[in-house]
Amino acid sequence: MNAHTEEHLDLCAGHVLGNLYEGESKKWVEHVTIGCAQCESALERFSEAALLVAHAAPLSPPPAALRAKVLSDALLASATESAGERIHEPSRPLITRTGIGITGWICVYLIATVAGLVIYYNMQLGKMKADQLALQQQLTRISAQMVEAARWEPAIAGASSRMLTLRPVRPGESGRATVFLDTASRRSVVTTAGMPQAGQLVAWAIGDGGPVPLGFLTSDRSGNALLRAESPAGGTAILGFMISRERSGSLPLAPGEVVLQGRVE
Amino acid sequence: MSPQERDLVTLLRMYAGDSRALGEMYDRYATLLHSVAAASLKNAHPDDIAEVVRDTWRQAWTRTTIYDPSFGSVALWLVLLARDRAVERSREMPAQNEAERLVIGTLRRQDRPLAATPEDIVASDRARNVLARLTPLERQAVAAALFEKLSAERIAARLEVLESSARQWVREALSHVSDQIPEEAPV
Repeated sequence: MNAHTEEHLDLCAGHVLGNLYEGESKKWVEHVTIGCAQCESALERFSEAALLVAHAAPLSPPPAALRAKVLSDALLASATESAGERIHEPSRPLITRTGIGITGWICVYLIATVAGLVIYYNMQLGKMKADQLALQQQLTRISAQMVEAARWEPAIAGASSRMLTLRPVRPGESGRATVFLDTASRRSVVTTAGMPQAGQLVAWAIGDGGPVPLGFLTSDRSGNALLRAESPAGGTAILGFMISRERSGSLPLAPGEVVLQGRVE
Repeated sequence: MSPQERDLVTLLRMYAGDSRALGEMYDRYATLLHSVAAASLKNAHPDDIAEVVRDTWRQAWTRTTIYDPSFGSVALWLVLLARDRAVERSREMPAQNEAERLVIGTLRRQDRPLAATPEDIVASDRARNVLARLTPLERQAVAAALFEKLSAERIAARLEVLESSARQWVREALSHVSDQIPEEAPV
């Protein structure tokens, strides 16, 4: 069935010249693999003949520079691959990129940018939290002041409130004071203005049993001060108020130099 | 040592990475491969032909293991590598009319070609003398098969004959050439 025929010689010629179709090549291989002396002989003769035909091409010597280029190509290939690798592996680029490349640098840039933004926003968040805490503290303080002001409101503007003015004991002395007294609760609010800075000022309530200290008056640079005083001890009726200048830093039992005084009408 | 034995030794040295062996092989077959490439790339610019030959040697250097001695000599293997690359290149090249070809040709710098060696000239003359003894159809058929890589079917279409006739002419051309080789010195 696969006996040698003249067609196989045609296939031998086509095989030597490398222009057989896939089907023809398969057919030829199937024939020669069983061993065909005629075809083996034809292959040898035809390959020699094909080489001779190639020599019949019009002579066209290569340019002088081509040899150096060819050898340069080989040296470049050898610089990157060993001879064994050359044979078994497809050619590879001579220059291999190392490092992280442009994509890597873009990633690094993006990561750094994101990290910077995270740090910045964390700092801003911390600052906002501190501001919020300060505001909360201020709000608490204001609320407490409002509660305290509301608590003392009856003493200043209530139905049982009385206002009296304290005047200097000695003529020519500067400063004045106003006292609001809630006769029901016996609580009072003492305010001063233009008081001299010398000494420590103490407010007193004058009852049947004598003066009772209400507390220190701490003036600002203009000599203004405010004191909210609870009901004085003793439970006696309050007849008047006075302000004394004291030398010691502790609340005295008896007034020192009285500078202002007034009577409840 | 026959030319084939000498080429096999050189090819083995190339296989081992000896670039001097490549230089020796180049000196042996550079003109033959360049001539084959020029014949396959009809009307191509010299730079294109030189590039095809350069690719051929690059392939020979990096793919020495694809050579199988049972299918022909090392020289024929190199010739067919150059022919295949030239045919591929001719298919890649855009079609140019004559005016374009001349204009582009004047813009390109051309390396000065080497003069052919006496051995090349002798081999070429001998081959032409042998082919001159073939019939014109045999000569056209085998030239188309070798330099253009045309199949029997396409040769038949070109020559307006039966495919079997084209196949026969190619085979007979090689057979007739082969018959004359023993009378000549080794190529």
